[in-house]
Amino acid sequence: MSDPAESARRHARFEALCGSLRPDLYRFAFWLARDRAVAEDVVQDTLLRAWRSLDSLGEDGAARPWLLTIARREFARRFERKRFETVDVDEVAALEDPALAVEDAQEVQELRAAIFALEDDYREPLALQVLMGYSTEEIAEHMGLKPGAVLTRLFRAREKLRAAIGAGASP
Amino acid sequence: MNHAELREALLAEPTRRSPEIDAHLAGCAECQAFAAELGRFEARLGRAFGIPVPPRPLPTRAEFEAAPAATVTPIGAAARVRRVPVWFALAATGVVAAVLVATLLTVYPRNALATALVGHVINEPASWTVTDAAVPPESVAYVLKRSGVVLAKGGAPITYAQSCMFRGWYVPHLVVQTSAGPVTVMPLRHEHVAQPTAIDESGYHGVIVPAGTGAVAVLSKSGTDPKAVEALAAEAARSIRFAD
Repeated sequence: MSDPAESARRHARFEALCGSLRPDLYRFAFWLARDRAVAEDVVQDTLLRAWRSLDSLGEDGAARPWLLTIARREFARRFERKRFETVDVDEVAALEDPALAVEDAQEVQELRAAIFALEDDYREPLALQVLMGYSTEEIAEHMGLKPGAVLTRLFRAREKLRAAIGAGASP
Repeated sequence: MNHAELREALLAEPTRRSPEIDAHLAGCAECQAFAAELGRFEARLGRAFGIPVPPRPLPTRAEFEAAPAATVTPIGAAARVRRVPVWFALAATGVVAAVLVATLLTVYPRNALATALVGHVINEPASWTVTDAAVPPESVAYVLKRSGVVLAKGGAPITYAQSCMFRGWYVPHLVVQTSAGPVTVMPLRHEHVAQPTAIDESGYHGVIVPAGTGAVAVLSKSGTDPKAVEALAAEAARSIRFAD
């Protein structure tokens, strides 16, 4: 049986580390899955896995990459079982934030649809860079790629998005 | 650095600046305009990625603990082992089945499923803890329900219960204690074996037997009485049902 005091300390540490990271975790999972229900499940499973392996987390400062790595694995496991080959574009509309100004909402909506249509290989590194503020080296480590490959994907991802929304002409 | 190189660098890393980039921007109005426009695009991209997050608190401590336990508290010396009369009785009465399975152990070669099972249990060292602390029934129920497994009541106390991803499916990873040490039992609703299949590699041995519409694997560390393992496999196959 586990010691209740130890269990309480463990939960307090977990809450302090992971509570504030849940929004990041959800957004990352959402952009991997492009499905809110799957994102919720991935977040939940990630938190359970993280709870079970909390002792494997070295420094508290490493909690975010640690959680994102678990989330990526959890998503991969789900993906092995169910391929999300189609994407419901209405999902994009359902994400609309009413707090955004009307014209801004239209632009953001358009860009979200373009992100939705982006291939996984381009969407994930871009999400890590834009959402999580990861450096190229951190993305490379997270995805098991060489930094040069990450730079290429990031460049291509933006190129595709900009082409999709008609932003900036090439020189 | 020419225009194309600068734009490629900025499109990959919009916030990174280098002496080469700064020098080019300082003398190129066209690329300055591109960088400014890219800045606006990045702000918009940040808002696009920043989807609203449904409010939901972290699971409570009780919820975490009702989920598969992280570790099983060891009780110290490995020699202190709880005797489990149910399994001993089964072992004693299952001699015929044991002889059959023992024969099969020597006949059937290792296969991919057996290798995957051994690889899995090696990576869960906590499951091999010798303990007399049973996992709470609600935790066991959670693990079983998640995989659509129904277990007959009355078996030996389960001292380890995890819901593990195994070959693409959540599988209950259960452990019971025998006089010779912990034994892993994994109901595998998505795996099929036509007949008992031996596991004997990397210091682990056991058997995979057909069970209902799936299979069940029983694994122990070498040194555990093979007859007890085989009897346990036979009993587990009778006790486990896979829900529709």
